[in-house]
Amino acid sequence: MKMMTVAQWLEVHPGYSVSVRVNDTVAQVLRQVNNHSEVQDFYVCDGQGQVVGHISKTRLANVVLAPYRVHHSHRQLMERVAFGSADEFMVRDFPTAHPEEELDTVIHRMLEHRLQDMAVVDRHRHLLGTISLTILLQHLPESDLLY
Amino acid sequence: MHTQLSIPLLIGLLLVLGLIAALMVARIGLPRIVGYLFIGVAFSPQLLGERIGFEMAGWSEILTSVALGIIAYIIGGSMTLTQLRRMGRVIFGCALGESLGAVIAVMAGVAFIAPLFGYGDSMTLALAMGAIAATTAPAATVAVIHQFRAHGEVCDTLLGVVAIDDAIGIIAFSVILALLMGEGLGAEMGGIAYEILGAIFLGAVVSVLLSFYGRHVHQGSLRLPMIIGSILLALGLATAIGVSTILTGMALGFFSRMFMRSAADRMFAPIEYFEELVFAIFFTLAGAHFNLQVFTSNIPLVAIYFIFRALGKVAGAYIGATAVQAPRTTRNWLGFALMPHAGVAVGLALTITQVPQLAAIKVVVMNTIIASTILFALLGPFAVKFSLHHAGELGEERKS
Repeated sequence: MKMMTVAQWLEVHPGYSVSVRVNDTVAQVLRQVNNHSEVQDFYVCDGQGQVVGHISKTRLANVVLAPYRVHHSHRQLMERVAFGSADEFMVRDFPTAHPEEELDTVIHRMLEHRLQDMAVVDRHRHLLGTISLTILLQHLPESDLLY
Repeated sequence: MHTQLSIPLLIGLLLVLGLIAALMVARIGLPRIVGYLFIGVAFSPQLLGERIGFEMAGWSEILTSVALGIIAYIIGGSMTLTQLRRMGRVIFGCALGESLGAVIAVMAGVAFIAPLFGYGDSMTLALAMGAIAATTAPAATVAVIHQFRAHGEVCDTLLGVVAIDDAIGIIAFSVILALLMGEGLGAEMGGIAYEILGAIFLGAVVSVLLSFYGRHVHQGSLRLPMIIGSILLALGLATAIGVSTILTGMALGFFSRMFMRSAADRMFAPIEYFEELVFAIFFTLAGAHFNLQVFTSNIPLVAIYFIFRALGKVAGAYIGATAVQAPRTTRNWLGFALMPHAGVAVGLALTITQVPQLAAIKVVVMNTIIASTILFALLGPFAVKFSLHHAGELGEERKS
């Protein structure tokens, strides 16, 4: 795993990424989530196929299941009353990886940002795949273990 | 024995004992604010305060100001222009109606009825009390809706109204406070415009800095210091140039959200955890202003505030709903669900106690608001239930 680039890792473990469209309604995003129940992170693409946002399953659950919440912050209350399309509840500025980067660097970034999955995008921000923490752990060589 | 306790010890005692009391009263079904107020009252000068050297001068002002700045930032950042547009005219009409209805009704009540009970300078008192009346506590409303699985037109409108009426209340408060701090409406229009527009401009300028940071810094541990730093910077600059601090905080939140577009979770979720701390500060400090003599001699004012705020909410919601042609059930029952009144109102009342021009009425205002808040906190949930029951929107009650 050491001295490997992201592109090399993706060749062996392409990951599984699901994208939704920027104008998709909450119901449409939910449908995608339900069709891919094993996926935790969803990437939002614009008309040119560029990744413009990220929605985690937890974030979506917070929007959809808001009526079951006893306490709301003002922001959650507003979101409950006036929720809109994917571009309103996605996060626009989120960390990504690039194919030419060293995998070590990307793992550090994932741990730093507490990410389960990280999108790999090219220089035009097209989605190439994802690096999953679960798959990384599954394929961690024993020689890489610190203890 | 008279011992002077240090400021950190005083604040620590207020918060720790307040939180313990809040948890205890919550166990017997009372709102947590009762616990906070109880501890605050215990520290008031007439009870423990005098004996332990509890002195609020010098630190409570800055604490209240920062706490209110945080709440204003949270409220400002809770909404986007797109969301506001989507909410529609019914929610806006009702929110404007009920907020301004409460302000006007309380002002009228205090101005015309209070003098019958011997209150002098009733116009200043009327403006100060009216300025606080608009805000509604969303927590109690949401809790009742959840408890009774309520749903329907009134319920949807109610959630929208409570989501935005604190913002309307803060704007109304800022305008009235600017007026109270000036020399009179005619002479001070320029000054009021400067205070309000200057605050919006200042909040927008600082938000450019904060949103730039928010877009480029992804480490969670670095966000909170920057958010708090920006709030303090904005409040400090607002004080220095003489514009409304609370409106500056709200503008900072609103424009930060706007400039960052949808990265709201990142810049607001960390500070939303402070909301309970802020309310604990508000209520314990408010309780510490308690004065038994002032309290008992101002029962008529408490009654006027309570009755006229309730009337203003009901009538204002009816007028607002009628103006935007809301359905009949909304017109008839929405106002009754808008009685809860707590955290932000107490924060605004504490702000009034810090205005030198209002020194003569500050103790009366604070004690009246403490008493009214307790009444509204205890009766508010019943009013929400009453409203939704008559609107035919209550479902089956949850077991726990």
